[in-house]
Order: sequence, then C-alpha cells, then structure tokens
Amino acid sequence: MEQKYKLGDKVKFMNDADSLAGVIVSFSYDASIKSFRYSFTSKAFDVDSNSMIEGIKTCLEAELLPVESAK
Amino acid sequence: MNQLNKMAKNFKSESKITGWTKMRLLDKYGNAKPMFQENFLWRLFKKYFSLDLQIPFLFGNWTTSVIKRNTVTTIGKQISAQQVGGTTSAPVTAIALGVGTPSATALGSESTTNGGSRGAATVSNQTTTLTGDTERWVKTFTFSGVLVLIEEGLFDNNTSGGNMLASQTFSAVTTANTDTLQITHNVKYA
Repeated sequence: MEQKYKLGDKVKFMNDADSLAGVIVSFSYDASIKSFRYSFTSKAFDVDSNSMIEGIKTCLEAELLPVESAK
Repeated sequence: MNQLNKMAKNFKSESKITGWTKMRLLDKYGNAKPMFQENFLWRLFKKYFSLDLQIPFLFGNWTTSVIKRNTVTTIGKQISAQQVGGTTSAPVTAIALGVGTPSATALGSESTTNGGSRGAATVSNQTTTLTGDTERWVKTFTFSGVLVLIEEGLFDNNTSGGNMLASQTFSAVTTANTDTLQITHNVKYA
C-alpha cells in the first residue's frame, strides 16, 4: 500500500478552488476504511476575529486533487 | 449507581462543551447582506410551532453578522472523548448546510446543490477563556443559485454521512447566485 501524495505536495479539497490549495504536512493510514488521510495547510478569512487565520484541512485520499505550483 | 459513577461524581473538575457560530452573507461585490438575528422569543416559536417569524424588535433584529449558539450532540460528546484517547481516527473536518431541522444525529435535509454542498473546513485552535480551549472551523460557501438555508452542522466526513458533532438552526437565509456565506463555528471545551 503506497500513498498517492507525499509530504510537501500541493493539494486541494476536490470541491474547492485552486486558490484554497495547501501543502501536505502529515498523513496516516486508516485501516478501517482502507484509505490514507492527509492534513494540509489552509488559510481562511475568520469572521470572528476579522482576520486571516492559518489552520489545517484533513481529507481522505479520494477527496484530494493535486495542484501545480506556479513556476 | 455503580462504583465508577460514584467515583466520577466525586471528581471536582468538570468540563463543558459549548459552541457558537458566526455567519456573514456577502454579495459578489463583497457587500454584507442583512440576516435575521433571532432572540429568545423566536427560538420559542421555532421550537413549539416551527415558525420562523422575522419581525424586527419582537423576534430579533436585522444585522450583517449573526451569532448563534449551537447544540452539541450526544454522539458529538462521544467522538470528542474518542479523539482524546485516539480510539477514533476520524477528526471532525466538515461543515454542512441544510434546509430542514437537525435531529440528534444528522441535519434534517442537507443541501447538496447550488454550491451548498458539504465540504472540508479550515480548522484551527483558538483561545476563548483558557489557552487553546476552543476549536474553530471556518468555511466560505459560494452559491450558484437560490437556497433557503436554516440549519448547519459539523461532521467527521467531508462528503456525506459521518457523525455530527454539533448543529444549529437559524432564521432562513436566502442565497442568490454568486453570494458567499462565511461560517465560523466554534466549539469550546472548558
């Protein structure tokens, strides 16, 4: 079993725009659903604090799409 | 009452799980659109008569930023406990919207069209009272048509099903094509 994405790869959640892509910071294998689960960096505008915040998104392998980095 | 329950009762340290959500509806130019901020009377009529009475001053007021207290579900408390010990590997990652009334385990009628589909939220750890006592989910939905939204929930599955950590109902928010709805959902453990 080998994962599709590596640490540092740029990915996005399948329904998101390319501008919401982030870099994979960790992954693990979930044997109960036979899938890799990835966490990647994510920024969002936070209404509560009226500022940009940095967080993470966590998705299964099938929910991710690769995003080409700008050269 | 068994021995374990007696022991648990003797522990002085207690922890509550509470949550709240802040929402803003914007048009394509970024202008905030008014939303109805409900009061206690609105909640009473909603609960007992299923009525959404948007009458200013009596049932609430129109504002551009709505704050709403949520309901943490029983299964939500279970998956929170499981996360602490690592007996689940599925974190709560998604925000979903709907057009029904939430049950104890799911939204009443989850939206899957016009840009209102469930999706992965940006999750971060924040401080409300004690350092890092609040987990925050942020997601912006961009709509491609009309939806009359009245419920929102947090899930441990980004696409469908899964366990619902918390949910809330609110006065109807009507979206139009190109509108965006910014949702900030907080859950505080303290």
